[in-house]
Amino acid sequence: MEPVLQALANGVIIGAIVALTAVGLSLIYSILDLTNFAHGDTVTVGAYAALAVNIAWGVSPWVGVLVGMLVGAVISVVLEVVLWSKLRRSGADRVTLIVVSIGLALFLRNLIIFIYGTSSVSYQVPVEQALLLGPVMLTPQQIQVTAAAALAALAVHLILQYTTIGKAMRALADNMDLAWVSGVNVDNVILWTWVLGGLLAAGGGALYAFTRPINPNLGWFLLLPMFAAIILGGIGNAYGAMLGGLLIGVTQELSALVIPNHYKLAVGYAVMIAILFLLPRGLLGKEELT
Amino acid sequence: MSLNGSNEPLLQADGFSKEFDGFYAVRDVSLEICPGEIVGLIGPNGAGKTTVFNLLSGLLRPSAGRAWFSGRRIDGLRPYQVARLGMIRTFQLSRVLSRLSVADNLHLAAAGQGREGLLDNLLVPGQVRRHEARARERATHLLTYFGLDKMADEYAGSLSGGQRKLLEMARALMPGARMLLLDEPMAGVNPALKETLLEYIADLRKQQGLTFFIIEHDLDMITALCDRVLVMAGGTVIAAGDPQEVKRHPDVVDSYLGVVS
Amino acid sequence: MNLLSYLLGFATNLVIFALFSLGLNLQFGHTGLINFGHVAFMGVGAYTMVIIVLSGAPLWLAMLVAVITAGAFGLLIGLPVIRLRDDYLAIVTIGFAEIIRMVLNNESWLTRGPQGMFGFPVPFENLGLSPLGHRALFLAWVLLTAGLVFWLVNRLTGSPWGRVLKAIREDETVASSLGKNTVAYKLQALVIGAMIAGLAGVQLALFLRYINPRNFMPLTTFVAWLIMIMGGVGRNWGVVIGSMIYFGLNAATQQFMARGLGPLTGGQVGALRMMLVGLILVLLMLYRPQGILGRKEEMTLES
Repeated sequence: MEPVLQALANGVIIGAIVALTAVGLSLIYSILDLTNFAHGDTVTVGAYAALAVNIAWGVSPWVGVLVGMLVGAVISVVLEVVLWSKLRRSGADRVTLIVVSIGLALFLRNLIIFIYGTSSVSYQVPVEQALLLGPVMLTPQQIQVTAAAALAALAVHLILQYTTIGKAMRALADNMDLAWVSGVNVDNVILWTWVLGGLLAAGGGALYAFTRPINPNLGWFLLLPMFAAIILGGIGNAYGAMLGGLLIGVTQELSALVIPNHYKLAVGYAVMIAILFLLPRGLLGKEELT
Repeated sequence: MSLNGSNEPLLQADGFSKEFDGFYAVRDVSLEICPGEIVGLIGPNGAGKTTVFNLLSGLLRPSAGRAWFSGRRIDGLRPYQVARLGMIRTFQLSRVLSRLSVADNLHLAAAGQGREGLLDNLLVPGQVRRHEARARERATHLLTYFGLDKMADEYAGSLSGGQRKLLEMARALMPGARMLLLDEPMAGVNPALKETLLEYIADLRKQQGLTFFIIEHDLDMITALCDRVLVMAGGTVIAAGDPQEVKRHPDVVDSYLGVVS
Repeated sequence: MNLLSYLLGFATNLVIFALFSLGLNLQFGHTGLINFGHVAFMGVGAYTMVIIVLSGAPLWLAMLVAVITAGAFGLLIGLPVIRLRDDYLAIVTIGFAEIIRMVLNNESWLTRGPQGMFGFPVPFENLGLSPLGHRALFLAWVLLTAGLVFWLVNRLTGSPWGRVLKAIREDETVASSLGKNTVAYKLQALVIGAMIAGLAGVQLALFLRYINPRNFMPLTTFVAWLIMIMGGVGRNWGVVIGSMIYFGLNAATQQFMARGLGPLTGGQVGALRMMLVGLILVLLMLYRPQGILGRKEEMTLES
């Protein structure tokens, strides 16, 4: 087993998950000017929903993933209808939205703790033997997870490029005023953006649960890499979020070869700071007026 | 040519351009304004007039071109640096500081930025108080002139649209300005007050040698007040000269499509 | 522990936390800076003081260095992002707090890791006072220092300097167009707020006589946010009121944390409490963003 390639492989796996979960965060950020600190907890909700059906009803964890995605989408839509649209209508400023999202994050996270406690949980699946594939060792599950993530990324690409709603999303993310003027049904697009973001975030969480035991802080700890991914990839660009996610994941895992493992998170942070200093608009972003 | 006879321009721009992803909001704009001049800037919406102001005042970085104020390079400077040199601007949609009082809005514009520093306020509060008192006098004078004195201690956010315009104007006129960039100062102001403002601007030029660069749609005002007019359309300057000449210029008539009276 | 001793301790904790929140209020309430990692400055203050005093330096020096170090960290994390939009600062401060926590937990050679640090000298311990007397004197000391800081902050925020901060909070572009070097002012507010949090950390360490990384979790930051918003954003005395409400309710429900409530376990009660914190934050922003001391008109003014 080759340590660098192994780290690379692990990085791609975690990076793919960050990439998926970051897409929703990025789209919401650019379309609604909302930095949603509760996004991480949508990820956690998805993971726990998947685990719940798997453990309680014994269904396959992959069914759990689908259930998780559904739950994520539903929660996102409900929150949009009940909370976010209200705040937008009353002209809440960016800071108010951020504080609300933090309150929401606290609420969701502790709701999960309330129901499931704080100890770690995993899917109830037979333990799988890691396979030696050339220079790296991977379990079949890890391969499946990566494949699923890749499939999801492809789906996102197809949606954004070839569906009306997807194109509208990109248009709104790019330039809200212009898209509005050209007759796009903004409220509709916003709703579907939440759906997509919720599906991806929750799905990402459910996939993540394959890779290691999870606890209620899962999403909160993924939030920083997600933000790093978006900033690295460029604000307002869903593809940037995906590219950024992959790069962050890989960088973090590779860095673990040289720095102590528990500082992996700091690497994503360092990358983010470096980008903000050197190239604030990110790799694929446009010039932003500060 | 300016009133004090000097030919040295106060404001100069050379080849100013601003490009956004291939679209040129402003392309190759050059201008010169001498001390004591009142110059108008007119043109249809979207012609790039406010963008020129943004470039001059440092809110935007030019993609190309250079500018000088009082002999100093100003392109690339931050807004606060340009303001400290004495070039003050107002905004098209008046931006008052809503949750501060009307008086505070003016105090913030007073010259002598040094009295707002951290160390000053920690160590020499007496001096700060004296400076405040002087600024208060000036502020009261301006507020009275614009009829806002009764609102001095009210939140600026409770002012009506027209009153905000006046506050913005008053703010620009607190001491320290050498040149004012006014972005549609007359929009939303009632006709009687317009006359007063016109006189006030002319007065300031005569008595204090203040220089004005004014974006306006009100062509009567432009004709009455300005020594010179620049006309912009599609990001470039298409005509320049004295107001009467410019009104008759074929390009100007075209670009306004009959709006010119 | 008798009632008086408990009350003295309760009051001390309250004042320390009010001070902590005051620092945040200067950054956010007055200047509009979104700091979601405030607890890190407290941790830096606490640990720096303990580390230095344990190495033999006099207490007053350790305290001074601790407060300055906290301020230095404020400058450090502010510099890269202060020119960018406010949400970048929010993200960066969260990361910063996480990293500090990681360092506190893992760099045992410096911080003794999860074990924590204790055995350091505290003020007034050599005066031969009874434990109760010591508590009372310590409270007086905390009140005095906090009172001093409050007075100073009040003076500053009511001064022309404070007015510039408010202008920046309202509309940074306008403030800049009026000749204010907004970057400098924002950094000043950030650093001073961090120093105040550092002082709160120092006092906390001296109060508890034992610190470990679990004293400085993200939760603390968000409780400070709640306190600040409840009391009234931008109102300096609001943090005192907010503190009283929060810690009052906290104390009232404390027993349920340990013993549980009906069918709920202690852990669940704890989670329920945090759910309430989150919920109240959301409700406050929806229905009473001005808090207790704020004025409603301020929230409904159109900018």
